[in-house]
Amino acid sequence: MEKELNEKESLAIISSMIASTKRKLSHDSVHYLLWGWSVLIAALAHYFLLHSGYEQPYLSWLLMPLTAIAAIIVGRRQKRERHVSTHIDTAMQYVWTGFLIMLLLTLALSSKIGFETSYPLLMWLYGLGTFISGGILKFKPLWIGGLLSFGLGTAAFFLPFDQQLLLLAAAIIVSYILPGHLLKAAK
Amino acid sequence: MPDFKTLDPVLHQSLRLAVVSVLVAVESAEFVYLKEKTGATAGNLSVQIDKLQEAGYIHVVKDYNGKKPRTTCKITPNGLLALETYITALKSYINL
Repeated sequence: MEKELNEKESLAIISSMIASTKRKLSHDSVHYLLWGWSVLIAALAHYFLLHSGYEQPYLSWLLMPLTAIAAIIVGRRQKRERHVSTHIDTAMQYVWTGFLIMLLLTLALSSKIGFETSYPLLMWLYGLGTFISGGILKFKPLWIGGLLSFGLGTAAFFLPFDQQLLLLAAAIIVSYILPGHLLKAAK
Repeated sequence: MPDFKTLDPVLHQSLRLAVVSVLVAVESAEFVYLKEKTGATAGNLSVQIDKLQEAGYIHVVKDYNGKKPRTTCKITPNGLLALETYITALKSYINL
């Protein structure tokens, strides 16, 4: 026989169940770290290949499709293991899908826009992604990293292409890699 | 004297109340997640989910995740309203 609930027990059930659904912040860190490190490696490799006189230094960006495959695999596994979808998950999905669409459009039109303009634009875009995500997750290092990326992207408009690559690397460190590691350590 | 309201019998049961409370906080949750959070047995949880569905408080989708069967639950607008009404009634009881 189940005993009758009293009012206090009812409220305790409601509040404890709602509290139990609290999302772990560390869950998100893997994607920031995966993309952060991968873009950092590709940007620096592009810079060094450019200066070593290699003919096609941009080939370093071939790392991106591999990262995308890894990100899809990780994302699918996370979804399978979590068995729950929160409103934050949905918001993040829209932010990053929008980000991806704009990233691909910028890349596709980069010959029209000009490479020296596309990279600073991409830095603004990277910053936008982490700025919004930081706001949604209420995680300060992420949105501050986003703001710093806006600043670095703006500075990049005034610099030659090779130096833009270094600023891009810096933007990735402050807006993805550092917040990613802090997020991983967060509860 | 506070205005005593009748408590909704569908929600005034610990496991059903727990399930609806979890679902109010998330967008959707699978059976295994609800089982873990509520600590209920699969049999009991399954019965209570059916009752909540019959009352129109939750929406249940059964499909497959690869080869494994999967049950996903989501609160309905009616369920949300019922929980709000239930909490208002509780407050009138304890005079909040």
